[in-house]
Amino acid sequence: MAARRGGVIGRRRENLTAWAFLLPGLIPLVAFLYWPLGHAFGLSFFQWNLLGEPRFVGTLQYERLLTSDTFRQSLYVTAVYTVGVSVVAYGLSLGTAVLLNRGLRIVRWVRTVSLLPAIIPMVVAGVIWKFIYEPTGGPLNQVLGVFGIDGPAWLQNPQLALPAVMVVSVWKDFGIYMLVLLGGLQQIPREIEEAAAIDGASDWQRFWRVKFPMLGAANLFVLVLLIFNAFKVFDQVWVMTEGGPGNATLTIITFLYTRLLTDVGFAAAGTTVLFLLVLIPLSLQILARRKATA
Amino acid sequence: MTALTRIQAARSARFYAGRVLMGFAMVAIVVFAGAPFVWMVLASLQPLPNLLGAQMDVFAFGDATIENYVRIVTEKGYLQWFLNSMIVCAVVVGANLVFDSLIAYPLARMRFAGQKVVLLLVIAAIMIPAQVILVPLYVQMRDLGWLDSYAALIAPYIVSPTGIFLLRQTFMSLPRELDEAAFIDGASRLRTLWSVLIPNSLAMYGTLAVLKFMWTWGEFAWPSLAINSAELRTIPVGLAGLRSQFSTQWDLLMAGSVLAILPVLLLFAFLQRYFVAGLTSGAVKG
Repeated sequence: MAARRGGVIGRRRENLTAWAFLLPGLIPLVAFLYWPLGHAFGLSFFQWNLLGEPRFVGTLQYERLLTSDTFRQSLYVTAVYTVGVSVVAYGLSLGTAVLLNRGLRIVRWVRTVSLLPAIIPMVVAGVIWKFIYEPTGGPLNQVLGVFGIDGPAWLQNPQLALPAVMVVSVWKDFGIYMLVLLGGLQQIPREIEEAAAIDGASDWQRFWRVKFPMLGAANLFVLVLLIFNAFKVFDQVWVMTEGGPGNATLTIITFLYTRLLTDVGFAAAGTTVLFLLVLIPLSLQILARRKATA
Repeated sequence: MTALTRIQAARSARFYAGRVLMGFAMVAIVVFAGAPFVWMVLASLQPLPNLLGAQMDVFAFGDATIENYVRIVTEKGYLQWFLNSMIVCAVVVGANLVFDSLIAYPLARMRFAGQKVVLLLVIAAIMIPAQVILVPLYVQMRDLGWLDSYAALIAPYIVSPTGIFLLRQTFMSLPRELDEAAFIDGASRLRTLWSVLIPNSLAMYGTLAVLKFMWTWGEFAWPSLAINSAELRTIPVGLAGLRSQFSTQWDLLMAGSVLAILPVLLLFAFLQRYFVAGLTSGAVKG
């Protein structure tokens, strides 16, 4: 096509047309994403409460962050949350994917139900589970009561609140990860599995020795997604506990959200640190891709 | 019994044991994923006293009432939240289909100065979590005078890097001969996009529309920051508001939650194919 409009004039016209297509969408993308991203970095060197003039304070906000016990607590909570949710959600979604990787008709129903939590607003998920976790008479504790167990106050107990929130995150998104892994499983050629079966491999061996290694790309994608999504967790925490009790569920974003409008520079420094953290799983993926193609 | 039939019997016993175990596992998954929805619906039909403390009883079918639904609409202005969410979603989805296509097309089919930079900008944008820009976005919208208006709810979402990326991939997967033919017939670039590429990518457009609707419908952190007036609340913001006043109003919250997920569930029921495609390909929100 470029050949049809060869020459300098043709190329210049092609450039003009292309940019005429790009600008209407590129302007908002830069204005509402890249500009704020840069602005956040800039603001992190100022002290500001949204009123009056921002005051330049150098790296003070980063020093405050690093010495803030609450920020450290939020890093710790986010780390525990990330590891816990990743392990449990991965296990559950892999198990479900393996279970559903058969031609049974009932499989479609199970898949559909597993996806229901993934499509609803996170706020609604938080509301439903807050109800389920109600200490006296809540559905979960009623079920436990049937077995003679006196259920605790899940969200009000500092030891239990974080695991309780993590369960909600697993519930919400395991269907998506299951879908990705199921897609990976379905791409494995039948002949490979049949060959392993003929060679006398048991179901267990066939899965771990043959199929699992072939899930490489899907596994990595799910892992990166899990970490990426865990770092920025906010909605469900805010709806269920607002970071409490006693900062037990205070994730990074939850912490920064409380400072957002009164301590702008500090919150901006926090989000900059978060952005750097998010780059970790992403560079992991890029490195792994390089390795796979090399 | 011959040795062979004995082996067969053992095999089929193991086969059925396996089947039963699989059945149990499937039931467990369905209960885990589905039970919260059942509780939500049952609770939404109960008067408040049946949802509090030791008297909690969502199975008191004798008391069942639609009073909660009536009250959340008449007393809390649910219709206004619904309308706001719908307006925002409609504009956002519409704008995305247009802007994403306009960026995806040159990236897929043209050669222009700065192509690599634009592609990099788009792909990198997929990886920027919206939470990171909450602070400066607030400052920016305040300076523009857009806070507490539809503009603040819509502007940050009108173009989606994920959408651009998915459309570009789809366009690139179409044979070039398709648009060459239109080109030779003298069609303009815009014409080619409109009457050749788009009609051949409708499945991806369906996926994109569903995905973007679902995301925008559930958006919470930014809208709750950007909106102050009660009459501009979207559904998630309105629902979260019911939670903090004095004590939690479970009756209204549960009815509101059912109403909030109804549109997404309806879409899911009819367009499950697009949801499945969207949830895997757009697993990174953006």
